[in-house]
Amino acid sequence: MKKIIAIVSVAAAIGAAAIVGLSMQTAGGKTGEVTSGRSLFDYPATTGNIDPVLSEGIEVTPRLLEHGEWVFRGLCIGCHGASGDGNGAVWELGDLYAKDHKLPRKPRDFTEAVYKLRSTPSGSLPTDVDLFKSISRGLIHEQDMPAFKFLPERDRWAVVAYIKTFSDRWEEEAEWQEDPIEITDPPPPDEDSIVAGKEVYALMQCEQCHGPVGKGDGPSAPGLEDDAGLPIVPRDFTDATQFVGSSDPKGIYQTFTTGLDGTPMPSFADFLDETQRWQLVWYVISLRPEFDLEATRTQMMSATKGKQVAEASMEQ
Amino acid sequence: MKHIFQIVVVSVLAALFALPAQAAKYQEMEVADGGSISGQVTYTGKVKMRTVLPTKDKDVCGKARKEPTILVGEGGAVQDAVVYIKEIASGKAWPEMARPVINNVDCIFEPRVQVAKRGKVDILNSDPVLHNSHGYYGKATAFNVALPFKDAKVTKILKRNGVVRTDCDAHGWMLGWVVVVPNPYHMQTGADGNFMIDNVPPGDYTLVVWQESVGETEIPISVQAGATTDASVQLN
Repeated sequence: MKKIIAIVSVAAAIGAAAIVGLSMQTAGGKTGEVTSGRSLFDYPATTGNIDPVLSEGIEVTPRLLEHGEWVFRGLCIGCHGASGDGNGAVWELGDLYAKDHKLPRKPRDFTEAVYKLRSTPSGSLPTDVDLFKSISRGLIHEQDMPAFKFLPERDRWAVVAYIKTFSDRWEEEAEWQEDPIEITDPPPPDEDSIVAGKEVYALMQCEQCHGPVGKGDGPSAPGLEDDAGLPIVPRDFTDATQFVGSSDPKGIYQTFTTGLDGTPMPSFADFLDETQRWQLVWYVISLRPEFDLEATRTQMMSATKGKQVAEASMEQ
Repeated sequence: MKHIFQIVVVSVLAALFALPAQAAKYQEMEVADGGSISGQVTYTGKVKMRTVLPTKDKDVCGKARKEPTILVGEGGAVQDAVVYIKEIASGKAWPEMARPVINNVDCIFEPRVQVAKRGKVDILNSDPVLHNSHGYYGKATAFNVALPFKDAKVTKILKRNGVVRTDCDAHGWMLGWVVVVPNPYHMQTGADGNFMIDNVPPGDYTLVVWQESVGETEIPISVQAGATTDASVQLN
Protein backbone atom coordinates (compact mmCIF):
# COMPACT_ATOMS: atom_id res chain seq x y z
CA MET A 1 0.00 0.00 0.00
CA LYS A 2 2.78 2.35 1.00
CA LYS A 3 4.51 1.56 -2.26
CA ILE A 4 1.43 2.41 -4.30
CA ILE A 5 1.11 5.73 -2.52
CA ALA A 6 4.77 6.37 -3.19
CA ILE A 7 4.39 5.58 -6.88
CA VAL A 8 1.31 7.77 -7.14
CA SER A 9 3.20 10.52 -5.35
CA VAL A 10 6.11 10.18 -7.73
CA ALA A 11 3.71 10.43 -10.63
CA ALA A 12 2.19 13.50 -9.03
CA ALA A 13 5.63 14.96 -8.46
CA ILE A 14 6.68 14.36 -12.04
CA GLY A 15 3.42 15.89 -13.18
CA ALA A 16 4.01 18.85 -10.93
CA ALA A 17 7.56 19.16 -12.19
CA ALA A 18 6.30 19.17 -15.75
CA ILE A 19 3.74 21.86 -14.94
CA VAL A 20 6.29 23.92 -13.10
CA GLY A 21 8.80 23.46 -15.88
CA LEU A 22 6.26 24.58 -18.43
CA SER A 23 5.17 27.57 -16.40
CA MET A 24 8.73 28.55 -15.74
CA GLN A 25 9.56 28.37 -19.39
CA THR A 26 6.64 30.66 -20.06
CA ALA A 27 7.78 32.99 -17.34
CA GLY A 28 11.33 32.63 -18.62
CA GLY A 29 10.25 33.69 -22.06
CA LYS A 30 9.13 36.99 -20.64
CA THR A 31 11.84 37.63 -18.14
CA GLY A 32 14.75 35.65 -19.48
CA GLU A 33 15.31 34.04 -16.10
CA VAL A 34 15.29 30.37 -17.03
CA THR A 35 18.69 29.60 -18.33
CA SER A 36 18.69 25.95 -19.34
CA GLY A 37 16.61 22.85 -19.77
CA ARG A 38 16.62 21.41 -16.26
CA SER A 39 13.21 23.01 -15.75
CA LEU A 40 12.15 22.69 -12.11
CA PHE A 41 15.61 22.72 -10.66
CA ASP A 42 17.29 25.33 -12.79
CA TYR A 43 16.55 28.85 -11.85
CA PRO A 44 18.35 31.82 -10.42
CA ALA A 45 16.22 32.03 -7.34
CA THR A 46 17.65 35.23 -6.02
CA THR A 47 16.45 37.54 -8.74
CA GLY A 48 13.13 39.20 -9.46
CA ASN A 49 10.53 40.75 -7.26
CA ILE A 50 9.29 38.33 -4.64
CA ASP A 51 7.53 40.78 -2.36
CA PRO A 52 3.78 40.39 -2.19
CA VAL A 53 2.08 43.18 -4.11
CA LEU A 54 -1.58 42.53 -3.39
CA SER A 55 -1.42 42.78 0.36
CA GLU A 56 0.44 41.73 3.48
CA GLY A 57 -1.95 38.87 3.90
CA ILE A 58 -5.22 37.40 2.85
CA GLU A 59 -7.90 36.53 5.35
CA VAL A 60 -7.69 32.86 6.26
CA THR A 61 -11.02 31.24 5.44
CA PRO A 62 -11.95 27.57 5.04
CA ARG A 63 -12.18 28.28 1.32
CA LEU A 64 -8.62 29.62 1.23
CA LEU A 65 -7.30 26.63 3.18
CA GLU A 66 -9.07 24.30 0.78
CA HIS A 67 -7.49 26.13 -2.11
CA GLY A 68 -4.11 25.97 -0.36
CA GLU A 69 -4.44 22.23 0.03
CA TRP A 70 -5.27 21.91 -3.66
CA VAL A 71 -2.18 23.89 -4.69
CA PHE A 72 -0.06 22.00 -2.14
CA ARG A 73 -1.20 18.65 -3.48
CA GLY A 74 -0.38 19.75 -6.97
CA LEU A 75 3.02 21.34 -6.47
CA CYS A 76 4.48 20.74 -3.00
CA ILE A 77 3.53 17.18 -2.12
CA GLY A 78 6.26 15.55 -4.20
CA CYS A 79 8.99 16.84 -1.89
CA HIS A 80 7.21 17.82 1.31
CA GLY A 81 4.86 14.82 1.45
CA ALA A 82 1.13 14.58 2.00
CA SER A 83 1.53 15.05 5.74
CA GLY A 84 3.96 17.94 5.28
CA ASP A 85 6.80 16.19 7.10
CA GLY A 86 9.31 16.52 4.27
CA ASN A 87 9.16 12.82 3.46
CA GLY A 88 7.73 13.25 -0.01
CA ALA A 89 8.41 10.73 -2.73
CA VAL A 90 11.18 12.80 -4.28
CA TRP A 91 13.03 12.67 -0.98
CA GLU A 92 12.15 9.09 -0.02
CA LEU A 93 12.91 7.65 -3.41
CA GLY A 94 15.73 10.03 -4.26
CA ASP A 95 17.92 7.40 -5.85
CA LEU A 96 15.17 5.94 -8.00
CA TYR A 97 13.58 9.20 -9.00
CA ALA A 98 16.47 10.94 -10.66
CA LYS A 99 20.06 10.75 -9.65
CA ASP A 100 21.00 14.20 -10.85
CA HIS A 101 18.03 15.67 -9.01
CA LYS A 102 18.68 13.93 -5.72
CA LEU A 103 17.95 16.44 -3.04
CA PRO A 104 21.00 17.30 -0.94
CA ARG A 105 18.82 18.61 1.89
CA LYS A 106 15.71 17.10 3.36
CA PRO A 107 12.67 19.15 2.33
CA ARG A 108 11.32 21.30 5.15
CA ASP A 109 9.29 19.41 7.73
CA PHE A 110 6.24 21.63 8.22
CA THR A 111 5.15 19.62 11.25
CA GLU A 112 8.15 21.08 13.13
CA ALA A 113 7.53 24.57 11.74
CA VAL A 114 11.24 25.41 11.79
CA TYR A 115 12.18 27.76 8.97
CA LYS A 116 15.53 29.04 7.84
CA LEU A 117 14.45 32.31 6.27
CA ARG A 118 12.78 34.51 8.84
CA SER A 119 12.62 38.17 9.68
CA THR A 120 11.86 37.06 13.25
CA PRO A 121 14.38 36.19 16.00
CA SER A 122 15.94 32.74 16.25
CA GLY A 123 13.51 30.17 17.61
CA SER A 124 10.51 32.18 16.45
CA LEU A 125 7.99 31.28 13.83
CA PRO A 126 8.37 33.25 10.62
CA THR A 127 5.87 35.87 9.52
CA ASP A 128 3.41 35.06 6.76
CA VAL A 129 5.34 37.43 4.51
CA ASP A 130 8.54 35.46 5.22
CA LEU A 131 6.84 32.25 4.10
CA PHE A 132 5.36 34.00 1.08
CA LYS A 133 8.82 35.20 0.07
CA SER A 134 10.42 31.77 0.49
CA ILE A 135 7.73 30.18 -1.65
CA SER A 136 8.13 32.93 -4.22
CA ARG A 137 11.89 33.03 -4.54
CA GLY A 138 12.72 29.48 -3.57
CA LEU A 139 15.92 28.61 -1.75
CA ILE A 140 19.29 28.25 -3.39
CA HIS A 141 19.80 25.41 -5.81
CA GLU A 142 21.64 23.29 -3.27
CA GLN A 143 18.39 23.19 -1.32
CA ASP A 144 16.40 22.54 -4.49
CA MET A 145 13.42 24.55 -3.39
CA PRO A 146 12.17 26.06 -6.64
CA ALA A 147 10.88 29.59 -7.01
CA PHE A 148 7.10 29.65 -7.29
CA LYS A 149 6.73 33.32 -8.04
CA PHE A 150 4.98 32.43 -11.31
CA LEU A 151 1.96 31.32 -9.26
CA PRO A 152 -0.84 33.83 -8.83
CA GLU A 153 -0.35 35.62 -5.54
CA ARG A 154 -3.57 34.26 -4.09
CA ASP A 155 -2.29 30.69 -4.65
CA ARG A 156 0.87 31.48 -2.73
CA TRP A 157 -1.03 33.01 0.18
CA ALA A 158 -3.27 29.95 0.21
CA VAL A 159 -0.23 27.68 0.48
CA VAL A 160 1.16 29.84 3.30
CA ALA A 161 -2.11 29.36 5.19
CA TYR A 162 -2.23 25.66 4.43
CA ILE A 163 1.32 24.74 5.49
CA LYS A 164 0.66 26.39 8.85
CA THR A 165 -2.01 23.77 9.52
CA PHE A 166 0.68 21.07 9.82
CA SER A 167 1.96 22.32 13.20
CA ASP A 168 0.21 23.38 16.39
CA ARG A 169 3.13 25.69 17.18
CA TRP A 170 1.27 28.50 15.41
CA GLU A 171 -1.45 28.30 18.06
CA GLU A 172 0.67 27.27 21.00
CA GLU A 173 3.26 30.03 20.62
CA ALA A 174 0.95 32.83 19.52
CA GLU A 175 1.25 34.60 22.86
CA TRP A 176 5.06 34.41 22.75
CA GLN A 177 5.52 35.41 19.14
CA GLU A 178 8.40 37.88 18.75
CA ASP A 179 8.38 40.89 16.46
CA PRO A 180 10.26 40.81 13.19
CA ILE A 181 13.44 42.85 12.90
CA GLU A 182 13.38 45.99 10.84
CA ILE A 183 15.79 46.38 7.98
CA THR A 184 16.34 49.81 6.52
CA ASP A 185 17.79 50.56 3.10
CA PRO A 186 21.50 49.80 3.07
CA PRO A 187 23.93 52.71 3.03
CA PRO A 188 26.19 52.67 -0.04
CA PRO A 189 29.54 51.01 0.70
CA ASP A 190 32.91 52.73 0.68
CA GLU A 191 36.42 51.54 1.39
CA ASP A 192 36.23 52.45 5.07
CA SER A 193 33.03 50.47 5.60
CA ILE A 194 34.60 47.39 4.05
CA VAL A 195 37.73 47.70 6.20
CA ALA A 196 35.52 48.15 9.28
CA GLY A 197 33.39 45.19 8.16
CA LYS A 198 36.46 43.00 8.17
CA GLU A 199 36.99 43.89 11.81
CA VAL A 200 33.38 43.06 12.60
CA TYR A 201 33.88 39.73 10.81
CA ALA A 202 36.81 39.03 13.12
CA LEU A 203 35.05 40.26 16.26
CA MET A 204 31.99 38.11 15.56
CA GLN A 205 34.25 35.11 14.89
CA CYS A 206 32.61 34.47 11.53
CA GLU A 207 35.84 32.83 10.42
CA GLN A 208 35.30 29.97 12.87
CA CYS A 209 32.93 28.47 10.31
CA HIS A 210 33.25 30.59 7.20
CA GLY A 211 37.03 30.77 7.17
CA PRO A 212 39.48 33.68 7.16
CA VAL A 213 38.43 34.91 3.70
CA GLY A 214 34.90 33.53 3.61
CA LYS A 215 35.51 30.34 1.65
CA GLY A 216 33.45 28.31 4.14
CA ASP A 217 36.53 26.49 5.42
CA GLY A 218 36.89 27.57 9.05
CA PRO A 219 38.04 25.25 11.86
CA SER A 220 34.44 24.50 12.93
CA ALA A 221 33.32 23.71 9.38
CA PRO A 222 33.99 19.96 9.39
CA GLY A 223 31.28 17.85 10.99
CA LEU A 224 28.49 20.41 10.94
CA GLU A 225 24.99 18.98 10.60
CA ASP A 226 21.53 20.32 9.91
CA ASP A 227 18.38 19.46 11.84
CA ALA A 228 17.87 16.31 9.78
CA GLY A 229 21.34 15.12 10.89
CA LEU A 230 22.77 15.59 7.39
CA PRO A 231 26.18 17.14 6.77
CA ILE A 232 26.02 20.82 5.97
CA VAL A 233 28.76 23.22 4.95
CA PRO A 234 29.15 26.88 5.85
CA ARG A 235 28.44 29.17 2.94
CA ASP A 236 31.28 30.16 0.65
CA PHE A 237 30.83 33.91 0.54
CA THR A 238 32.76 34.23 -2.70
CA ASP A 239 29.90 32.55 -4.58
CA ALA A 240 26.71 34.61 -4.43
CA THR A 241 24.65 31.86 -6.06
CA GLN A 242 25.18 29.61 -3.05
CA PHE A 243 23.51 31.80 -0.44
CA VAL A 244 20.53 30.17 1.26
CA GLY A 245 18.73 33.43 1.76
CA SER A 246 18.75 36.37 -0.55
CA SER A 247 22.33 37.34 -1.44
CA ASP A 248 21.52 41.05 -1.58
CA PRO A 249 22.50 43.39 1.30
CA LYS A 250 19.16 43.15 3.10
CA GLY A 251 19.14 39.36 2.75
CA ILE A 252 22.61 39.03 4.30
CA TYR A 253 21.66 41.46 7.05
CA GLN A 254 18.64 39.29 7.88
CA THR A 255 20.53 36.01 7.74
CA PHE A 256 23.21 36.85 10.29
CA THR A 257 20.84 38.81 12.48
CA THR A 258 18.12 36.16 12.85
CA GLY A 259 20.17 33.07 11.99
CA LEU A 260 19.06 30.14 9.86
CA ASP A 261 17.05 27.94 12.20
CA GLY A 262 17.45 24.25 11.48
CA THR A 263 21.09 24.82 10.53
CA PRO A 264 24.19 25.60 12.63
CA MET A 265 24.03 29.27 11.54
CA PRO A 266 23.22 31.17 14.75
CA SER A 267 21.66 34.55 15.30
CA PHE A 268 23.99 37.51 15.87
CA ALA A 269 21.12 39.72 16.94
CA ASP A 270 22.58 41.01 20.17
CA PHE A 271 26.08 42.30 19.65
CA LEU A 272 26.15 44.70 16.75
CA ASP A 273 24.78 48.14 16.08
CA GLU A 274 23.18 49.17 12.83
CA THR A 275 26.40 50.64 11.38
CA GLN A 276 28.42 47.51 12.16
CA ARG A 277 25.76 45.33 10.57
CA TRP A 278 25.97 47.15 7.25
CA GLN A 279 29.78 47.13 7.47
CA LEU A 280 29.67 43.35 7.87
CA VAL A 281 27.20 43.06 4.99
CA TRP A 282 29.48 45.00 2.66
CA TYR A 283 32.57 43.11 3.76
CA VAL A 284 30.84 39.80 3.01
CA ILE A 285 29.71 41.07 -0.39
CA SER A 286 33.19 42.44 -1.11
CA LEU A 287 34.55 38.87 -0.94
CA ARG A 288 32.90 38.09 -4.27
CA PRO A 289 35.41 38.26 -7.11
CA GLU A 290 32.94 40.16 -9.27
CA PHE A 291 32.34 42.85 -6.66
CA ASP A 292 33.06 46.33 -7.94
CA LEU A 293 33.01 48.87 -5.15
CA GLU A 294 32.88 51.96 -7.35
CA ALA A 295 30.16 50.59 -9.60
CA THR A 296 28.04 49.46 -6.65
CA ARG A 297 28.50 52.76 -4.92
CA THR A 298 27.71 54.84 -7.98
CA GLN A 299 24.64 52.74 -8.76
CA MET A 300 23.30 53.02 -5.24
CA MET A 301 23.97 56.75 -5.03
CA SER A 302 22.16 57.44 -8.29
CA ALA A 303 19.27 55.15 -7.23
CA THR A 304 18.97 57.07 -3.97
CA LYS A 305 19.14 60.35 -5.84
CA GLY A 306 16.49 59.14 -8.30
CA LYS A 307 14.27 58.14 -5.41
CA GLN A 308 14.71 61.54 -3.77
CA VAL A 309 13.85 63.28 -7.03
CA ALA A 310 10.78 61.08 -7.45
CA GLU A 311 9.68 61.74 -3.88
CA ALA A 312 10.24 65.46 -4.30
CA SER A 313 8.11 65.52 -7.44
CA MET A 314 5.42 63.46 -5.66
CA GLU A 315 5.31 66.07 -2.92
CA GLN A 316 4.80 68.84 -5.45
CA MET B 1 -3.12 51.90 6.35
CA LYS B 2 -4.67 49.00 4.48
CA HIS B 3 -1.70 46.89 5.53
CA ILE B 4 -2.12 47.78 9.16
CA PHE B 5 -5.78 46.81 8.97
CA GLN B 6 -4.89 43.46 7.46
CA ILE B 7 -2.22 42.82 10.05
CA VAL B 8 -4.83 43.54 12.71
CA VAL B 9 -7.25 41.11 11.07
CA VAL B 10 -4.56 38.45 10.94
CA SER B 11 -3.61 39.11 14.58
CA VAL B 12 -7.21 38.87 15.72
CA LEU B 13 -7.60 35.61 13.83
CA ALA B 14 -4.37 34.33 15.38
CA ALA B 15 -5.65 35.31 18.82
CA LEU B 16 -8.91 33.46 18.19
CA PHE B 17 -7.07 30.34 17.09
CA ALA B 18 -4.87 30.61 20.17
CA LEU B 19 -7.80 30.43 22.58
CA PRO B 20 -8.03 26.63 22.87
CA ALA B 21 -4.32 26.42 23.68
CA GLN B 22 -4.70 29.03 26.38
CA ALA B 23 -7.71 27.26 27.85
CA ALA B 24 -5.50 24.22 28.45
CA LYS B 25 -3.07 26.32 30.47
CA TYR B 26 -2.44 25.48 34.10
CA GLN B 27 -4.78 27.27 36.52
CA GLU B 28 -3.61 28.23 40.00
CA MET B 29 -6.05 27.61 42.86
CA GLU B 30 -6.23 27.01 46.59
CA VAL B 31 -5.47 23.35 47.33
CA ALA B 32 -7.34 21.93 50.34
CA ASP B 33 -6.52 18.41 51.56
CA GLY B 34 -3.63 17.98 49.19
CA GLY B 35 -1.51 14.86 49.18
CA SER B 36 2.17 14.33 48.44
CA ILE B 37 4.22 12.26 46.09
CA SER B 38 7.66 11.19 47.17
CA GLY B 39 10.24 8.61 46.32
CA GLN B 40 13.68 7.96 44.99
CA VAL B 41 14.95 7.61 41.47
CA THR B 42 17.46 4.78 41.19
CA TYR B 43 19.43 3.04 38.49
CA THR B 44 21.19 -0.28 38.79
CA GLY B 45 22.20 -0.94 35.19
CA LYS B 46 25.57 -0.41 33.63
CA VAL B 47 26.49 3.26 33.45
CA LYS B 48 27.19 4.14 29.83
CA MET B 49 30.04 6.53 29.24
CA ARG B 50 30.10 9.22 26.62
CA THR B 51 33.31 10.30 24.96
CA VAL B 52 33.98 14.01 25.00
CA LEU B 53 36.48 14.79 22.30
CA PRO B 54 37.38 18.46 21.99
CA THR B 55 38.56 19.03 18.43
CA LYS B 56 39.31 22.74 18.74
CA ASP B 57 39.92 25.46 21.32
CA LYS B 58 41.62 22.80 23.41
CA ASP B 59 43.25 25.31 25.74
CA VAL B 60 39.75 26.32 26.86
CA CYS B 61 37.81 23.10 26.33
CA GLY B 62 40.30 20.66 27.82
CA LYS B 63 41.42 17.24 26.74
CA ALA B 64 39.54 14.17 25.55
CA ARG B 65 37.69 12.52 28.41
CA LYS B 66 34.76 10.28 29.25
CA GLU B 67 31.72 11.26 31.24
CA PRO B 68 28.77 9.24 32.50
CA THR B 69 25.43 9.66 30.73
CA ILE B 70 23.68 9.12 34.05
CA LEU B 71 24.88 10.35 37.44
CA VAL B 72 24.54 7.45 39.85
CA GLY B 73 25.46 7.72 43.52
CA GLU B 74 25.20 5.57 46.60
CA GLY B 75 22.57 2.83 46.40
CA GLY B 76 21.94 3.64 42.75
CA ALA B 77 20.54 7.11 43.51
CA VAL B 78 20.13 9.10 40.29
CA GLN B 79 21.05 12.76 40.32
CA ASP B 80 19.56 15.24 37.83
CA ALA B 81 16.43 13.31 37.03
CA VAL B 82 13.42 15.59 36.67
CA VAL B 83 10.14 14.37 38.12
CA TYR B 84 6.87 16.11 37.28
CA ILE B 85 3.14 15.54 36.89
CA LYS B 86 2.40 15.22 33.20
CA GLU B 87 -1.05 16.77 33.11
CA ILE B 88 -2.87 18.60 35.83
CA ALA B 89 -5.45 21.27 35.04
CA SER B 90 -5.20 23.22 38.27
CA GLY B 91 -3.45 23.22 41.62
CA LYS B 92 -1.01 25.09 43.83
CA ALA B 93 0.53 28.40 42.84
CA TRP B 94 3.82 28.49 40.98
CA PRO B 95 6.69 29.16 43.36
CA GLU B 96 9.13 31.98 42.67
CA MET B 97 11.45 30.55 40.05
CA ALA B 98 14.66 32.33 39.14
CA ARG B 99 15.16 32.91 35.45
CA PRO B 100 17.11 29.94 34.09
CA VAL B 101 20.69 30.56 33.03
CA ILE B 102 22.64 28.49 30.54
CA ASN B 103 26.30 29.33 31.07
CA ASN B 104 29.10 28.20 28.75
CA VAL B 105 32.04 27.46 31.05
CA ASP B 106 35.14 25.66 29.73
CA CYS B 107 32.96 24.41 26.87
CA ILE B 108 30.57 22.81 29.33
CA PHE B 109 26.98 23.91 29.86
CA GLU B 110 26.36 24.92 33.45
CA PRO B 111 24.14 23.69 34.82
CA ARG B 112 23.99 20.58 32.73
CA VAL B 113 20.36 19.93 33.73
CA GLN B 114 17.82 22.44 35.01
CA VAL B 115 14.09 22.95 35.32
CA ALA B 116 12.32 26.07 34.08
CA LYS B 117 8.91 27.53 33.53
CA ARG B 118 7.87 28.77 30.10
CA GLY B 119 9.48 32.19 29.63
CA LYS B 120 12.83 33.89 29.42
CA VAL B 121 16.22 32.21 29.65
CA ASP B 122 19.61 33.92 29.85
CA ILE B 123 22.43 32.42 27.83
CA LEU B 124 25.97 33.42 28.84
CA ASN B 125 29.46 32.86 27.58
CA SER B 126 32.21 32.65 30.22
CA ASP B 127 34.79 31.46 27.70
CA PRO B 128 37.02 33.60 25.47
CA VAL B 129 35.93 31.65 22.38
CA LEU B 130 32.89 31.68 20.07
CA HIS B 131 30.06 29.51 21.29
CA ASN B 132 26.69 29.15 19.68
CA SER B 133 24.12 27.79 22.06
CA HIS B 134 21.59 25.87 19.99
CA GLY B 135 18.50 24.65 21.83
CA TYR B 136 16.02 22.18 20.41
CA TYR B 137 12.60 20.87 21.30
CA GLY B 138 13.14 17.46 19.73
CA LYS B 139 14.36 18.41 16.26
CA ALA B 140 12.93 21.91 16.28
CA THR B 141 15.23 24.83 16.99
CA ALA B 142 14.19 26.62 20.18
CA PHE B 143 17.02 29.15 19.82
CA ASN B 144 20.38 29.32 18.10
CA VAL B 145 22.42 32.22 19.32
CA ALA B 146 26.00 33.20 18.72
CA LEU B 147 28.06 34.21 21.76
CA PRO B 148 31.18 35.51 20.03
CA PHE B 149 33.21 36.59 23.04
CA LYS B 150 33.62 36.28 26.81
CA ASP B 151 30.72 37.67 28.86
CA ALA B 152 28.42 37.80 25.84
CA LYS B 153 24.85 37.44 27.04
CA VAL B 154 21.63 36.77 25.16
CA THR B 155 18.11 36.48 26.49
CA LYS B 156 15.75 34.16 24.65
CA ILE B 157 12.27 32.79 25.27
CA LEU B 158 11.41 29.16 25.92
CA LYS B 159 8.05 29.27 24.21
CA ARG B 160 6.79 25.76 24.84
CA ASN B 161 6.77 23.14 27.55
CA GLY B 162 9.01 20.15 27.00
CA VAL B 163 12.63 19.09 27.09
CA VAL B 164 15.08 21.50 25.46
CA ARG B 165 18.38 19.90 24.50
CA THR B 166 21.17 22.42 24.03
CA ASP B 167 24.26 21.84 21.98
CA CYS B 168 26.90 24.01 20.37
CA ASP B 169 27.57 23.66 16.67
CA ALA B 170 31.01 25.18 17.19
CA HIS B 171 31.85 22.51 19.81
CA GLY B 172 29.79 19.50 18.80
CA TRP B 173 30.37 17.54 22.00
CA MET B 174 28.68 20.05 24.31
CA LEU B 175 25.33 19.00 25.77
CA GLY B 176 22.91 20.57 28.23
CA TRP B 177 19.25 20.26 29.14
CA VAL B 178 16.40 22.48 30.27
CA VAL B 179 13.15 20.76 31.19
CA VAL B 180 10.35 23.29 30.72
CA VAL B 181 7.69 21.97 33.05
CA PRO B 182 3.97 22.50 32.50
CA ASN B 183 3.02 22.99 36.17
CA PRO B 184 4.58 23.64 39.60
CA TYR B 185 4.45 19.94 40.54
CA HIS B 186 8.02 19.08 39.72
CA MET B 187 11.40 18.41 41.27
CA GLN B 188 14.93 17.80 40.07
CA THR B 189 16.71 15.14 42.07
CA GLY B 190 19.91 15.86 43.96
CA ALA B 191 22.70 13.42 44.77
CA ASP B 192 20.37 11.34 47.00
CA GLY B 193 17.97 10.75 44.10
CA ASN B 194 15.02 11.75 46.26
CA PHE B 195 12.02 13.79 45.27
CA MET B 196 9.06 15.19 47.16
CA ILE B 197 6.14 16.93 45.50
CA ASP B 198 3.52 18.34 47.85
CA ASN B 199 0.12 19.99 47.89
CA VAL B 200 -1.23 17.86 45.07
CA PRO B 201 -5.04 17.82 44.71
CA PRO B 202 -6.27 14.24 45.29
CA GLY B 203 -6.71 12.31 42.07
CA ASP B 204 -5.09 10.02 39.53
CA TYR B 205 -2.12 11.33 37.58
CA THR B 206 0.75 10.30 35.39
CA LEU B 207 4.14 11.06 36.88
CA VAL B 208 6.96 11.62 34.41
CA VAL B 209 10.53 10.83 35.39
CA TRP B 210 12.95 12.26 32.84
CA GLN B 211 16.63 11.51 32.72
CA GLU B 212 18.87 12.65 29.88
CA SER B 213 20.01 9.25 28.65
CA VAL B 214 17.00 7.16 29.71
CA GLY B 215 14.39 9.61 28.43
CA GLU B 216 10.91 9.74 29.91
CA THR B 217 9.48 7.07 32.18
CA GLU B 218 5.79 7.38 32.99
CA ILE B 219 4.29 6.10 36.23
CA PRO B 220 0.57 6.05 37.01
CA ILE B 221 -0.04 7.33 40.53
CA SER B 222 -2.97 7.97 42.80
CA VAL B 223 -2.86 10.79 45.32
CA GLN B 224 -5.05 10.72 48.43
CA ALA B 225 -5.92 13.66 50.63
CA GLY B 226 -3.39 14.16 53.43
CA ALA B 227 -1.41 11.06 52.46
CA THR B 228 1.96 10.52 50.84
CA THR B 229 2.15 8.32 47.77
CA ASP B 230 5.41 6.51 47.22
CA ALA B 231 6.46 6.69 43.58
CA SER B 232 10.01 5.42 43.76
CA VAL B 233 11.21 4.30 40.38
CA GLN B 234 14.08 2.21 39.16
CA LEU B 235 15.18 3.33 35.73
CA ASN B 236 16.53 0.90 33.22
